[in-house]
Amino acid sequence: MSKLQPIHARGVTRRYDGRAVVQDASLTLQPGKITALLGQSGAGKSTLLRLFAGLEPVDAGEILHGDVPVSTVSRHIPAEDRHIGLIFQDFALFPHLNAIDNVSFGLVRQSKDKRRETARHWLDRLGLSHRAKAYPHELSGGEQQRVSIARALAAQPVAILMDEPFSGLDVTLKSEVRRTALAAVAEAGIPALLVTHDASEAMRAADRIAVMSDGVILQEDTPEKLYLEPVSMAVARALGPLRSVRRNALPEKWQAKVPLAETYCLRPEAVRLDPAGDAMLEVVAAQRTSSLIEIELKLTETETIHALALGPFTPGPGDKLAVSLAPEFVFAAR
Amino acid sequence: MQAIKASSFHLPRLNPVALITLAAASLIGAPVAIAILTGVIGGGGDAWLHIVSTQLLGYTMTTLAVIGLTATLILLFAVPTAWFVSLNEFPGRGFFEWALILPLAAPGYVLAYAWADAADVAGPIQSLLRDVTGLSARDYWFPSVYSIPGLSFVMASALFPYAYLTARAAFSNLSLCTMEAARSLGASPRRLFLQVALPAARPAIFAGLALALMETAADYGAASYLGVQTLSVGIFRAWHSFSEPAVAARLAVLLILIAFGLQFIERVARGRGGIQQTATRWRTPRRQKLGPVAGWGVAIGCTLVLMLSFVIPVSRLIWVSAETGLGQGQIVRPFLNSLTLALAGSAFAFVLALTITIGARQNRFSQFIGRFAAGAGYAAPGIVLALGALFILSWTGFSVAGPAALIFLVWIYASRFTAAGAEPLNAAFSRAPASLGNAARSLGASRFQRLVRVDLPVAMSGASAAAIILFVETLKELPATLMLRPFNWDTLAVQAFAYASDERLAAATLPSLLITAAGLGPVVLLSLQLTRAGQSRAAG
Repeated sequence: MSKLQPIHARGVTRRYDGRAVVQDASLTLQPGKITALLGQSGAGKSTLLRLFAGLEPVDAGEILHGDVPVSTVSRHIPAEDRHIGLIFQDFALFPHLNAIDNVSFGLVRQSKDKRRETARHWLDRLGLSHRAKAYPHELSGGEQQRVSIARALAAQPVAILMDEPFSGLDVTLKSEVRRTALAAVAEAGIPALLVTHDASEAMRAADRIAVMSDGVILQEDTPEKLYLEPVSMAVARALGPLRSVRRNALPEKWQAKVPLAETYCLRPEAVRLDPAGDAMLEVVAAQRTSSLIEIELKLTETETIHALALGPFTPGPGDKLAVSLAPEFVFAAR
Repeated sequence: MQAIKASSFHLPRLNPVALITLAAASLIGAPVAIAILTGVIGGGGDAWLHIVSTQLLGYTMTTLAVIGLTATLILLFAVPTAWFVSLNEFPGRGFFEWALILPLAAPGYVLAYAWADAADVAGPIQSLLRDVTGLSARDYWFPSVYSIPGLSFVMASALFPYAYLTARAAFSNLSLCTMEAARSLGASPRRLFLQVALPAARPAIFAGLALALMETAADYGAASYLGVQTLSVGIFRAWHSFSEPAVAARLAVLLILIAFGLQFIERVARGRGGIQQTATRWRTPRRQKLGPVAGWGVAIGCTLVLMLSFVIPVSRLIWVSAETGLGQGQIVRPFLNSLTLALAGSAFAFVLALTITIGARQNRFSQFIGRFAAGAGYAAPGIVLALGALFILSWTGFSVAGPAALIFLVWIYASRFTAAGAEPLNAAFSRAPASLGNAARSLGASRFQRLVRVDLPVAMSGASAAAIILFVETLKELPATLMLRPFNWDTLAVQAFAYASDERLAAATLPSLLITAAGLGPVVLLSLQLTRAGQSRAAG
C-alpha cells in the first residue's frame, strides 16, 4: 500500500449519548493536498478528525485508506496501527523528553543512529536544529508546535491530521510557523487535514475546504469556489463577513444587476469606491484597519452596507462617495 | 511505508487496565468496606445497647465539638498567614512562607505530649508565670491541655498547614485583573480581602480544612493521651478494653459517617463557583509592601503561630530529652521497625497510587473506581481500617500476633494513604498536555508502550513528592499500628505512645523527636519545592 493514497470518509456518523455529533459525513483527503475542515466550535470538526485518526470508532459509514477499510461499524483499526500523524493545539510534546527525543519517539523500528539522523533532519527542516536538546518547557509556543510537526512527519505517516494547530500561538508567530509547517507538510506529499475555526487561515492554507455545521458537511470545494459560489448562507457566512439588505434598500440601478430576491447578502468587496460609479452614498462611519479602510455607507434611514477601500485618506461622516456594485459578491438570501 | 496489520482488526474487548485498577481499588477499599459491613450487619448485642444509652452521645458530641473548635483555630492560624505570605511583603516573609509548613512534621500526639508537659503546673510555662508574678499555683487559673479546647489546639497546631498550603496556593493564583478591578471600584484592602480574595479562595481553603478535620476525627493518640473521649477513643476502648469488636465496628460506622459528612460539607461549601479565573490575560498579583508597623505586626503574628504550633513543643521535647539523657528506653529496634514498616507501607501505597492514577487516564470506569476507593480509604480513620483488617485476620484464622499481622498493617497503610500519594501523581499528569496519549498512539505506541514510555515517566515527575508524603504519613501513623502490630514489635510511634501513657514522658521524647526529625527533612524539601514552584509560576 502506497502512502500516496487518498483517505475517504464515506457517510460516517458518530453519536454521543444518542446525539449525532458527526452525521453522514463524506470527505476525501487527497495526497499532496491540504484539506481544511472549517466551522464553529461544536460543529463536529474535531470529532471527524478523531474518526479519521482512529481515536474513535464510527457508528455508521466507513473510512478507507485507498480502498482498504480502516473503520467500519464492525471493524476498527486502532490509532496506533494507522500511521497517521496528529498535531494538536496543545502541542502534546512529551514533557520528559527533549526535542530530539520527542521527534525520535515514533522511530522505534530504526537503529539508534538512524533515529538520531532522521530526527535531526526533521528538526533542521523545521528550523530547530539548534534546539535539539531543549525540553518542551524551555521552548516557545511556536518552537513547540514545530517540534510536534517534525515528530509527526519524521514517523513517515500515511496522512497528517492537524487539530487547530496554530490557535495556541501568538498572532505575530502564527503566520511564520504556519508557513514553515505547512510547507513541510505539503513537501511530504501525503493527505493532510487542517481543522480550524478561522476562515482566513483555511483559505490561506488549504487546497480544499469543507464547511461543517452541526455535524454535517455543508459544502466542500476549493476556497475560491466556496467563497464565490456558496450553496447556502451558512457556508457564505462561514467564509467571511456578510451584510444583509432588502432589495428595496438598494439603489435602483443595482437592483437591475442582481437576480430577483427579497433580501441579499453582500460581501464588503461587493461595494467599490468608483469615480464612475452609478450610485452616490453617504458615509456613516469610516475606520482604518491597517491597510484597508472599512466604510459604512447609508442606504436608507435604517439600513447600511459596508465597503472596503485602499488609499491614503479616510473619509469622514457625511461625505458623499461614488460607488459601484460587483454583483459576483452579492448572494440572494434563500 | 509500514503496512497496516491485518491482525489489528478487533472488536472492543475486556480492558486489562480497568481490571488492574479494579484489583487495586478492591485492595484499597476492602478494609473500610468490611468495617462498615460488619458494623451495619453484625449485631452489637447488649454491649451496644449499653454504649448507646450511656456513652454514644458523649463520644459523638465530644468528637463534633473537637472538630468545630479545631476548624475555628485552623482558620485563624491558616488563612491570615497564607494571605499575608502570598500577597504582602513584610520582614521574614520568605522564611515564613516555607517555615509555616513545618508543623506537618510533628504528629498531633507528639505535640500533645510536649504541650501537656510544657503547660503542666510544674512545667516551664507556669513556673515562669509564677516566677514573674510571684503568685502561687492556687492563685490563678491556667487553661488545661487535658480538655476539648486543649485537644483542639493541639490538633489545629499539627494540621493547620493543610489549610495554609491550599489557601496560599489559592491566594497566589488570584488574578491581578480581578484584584485591580476591585480596587478600581473603590474596594479597601479590608474589603478586597473579605469580599474578593476570601470568597475566591474559599473552595481551596475548605478543601484543606476538610482534610485537616478528617485527620482530627481520625486521631487517637492525642485524644487518648489528653483524656478526651472522642469516637476514636471509644472504638479503641470497645475493641481493646471491652473485647467487643462488634461494638467497635458500629462506632466506626459513626466515625466514617462524620468523615464522609465533612467531605459532603466541603463539596457544598465549594459551591458552583470553583476557583476558575476568567480573565484571559492572567497575571499573578505583585505583593503589596506593608508599612513598618503593619509589617512587623504581621511578622510577630506569624512568629507566634510558628512558636505555638512547632517551636515551643519541639523545643520542650528536645529540652526534656537533653535533660534526662538519651539512654532512656530501647530505641534502635523501634527505629528499625518504623523504618521497615514506613518503607514497605509507602512502597505499596505508591504502587497502588501509580496504578489508580494511570488507570484513571485510560477510561472513566477506572477513574471512578480508583478515586472512589482511594477517597473512602483516606476518609476512613486508621482505627477503622485496622478493625476491618482484624476482622479479616480472625475470619481467615491468621494469628494477630504473627507476621501476617505485619502484612496486614502494610496493607492498611496503603489503604489509608494511597489517595495522598495519588495527588502529586495526578498533579504531574494535569501539568502535561491532555493529548499526550493520543499523540503517542498516532506514533504507533501500543498500550503497554504508552504506559512505559509516556505515562510512567510523566507520573514520575510527581513521584518524589508522592514518596515523601507517603513515607512521612506512614511513619507517623499510630492507631492502626497500635492495633495490628505483633506483640513486642513496637514502632517509634507506638513506643512514644506507650511511654507517654505510662507518664514516662522523658522516655517518650526520643522516639517522638525521631519521628519529627524523620518527617522534618521531607517536609522541608516539599515546602521548598512548593515555594519554588510558586515563585516560578509568579515569574512566568
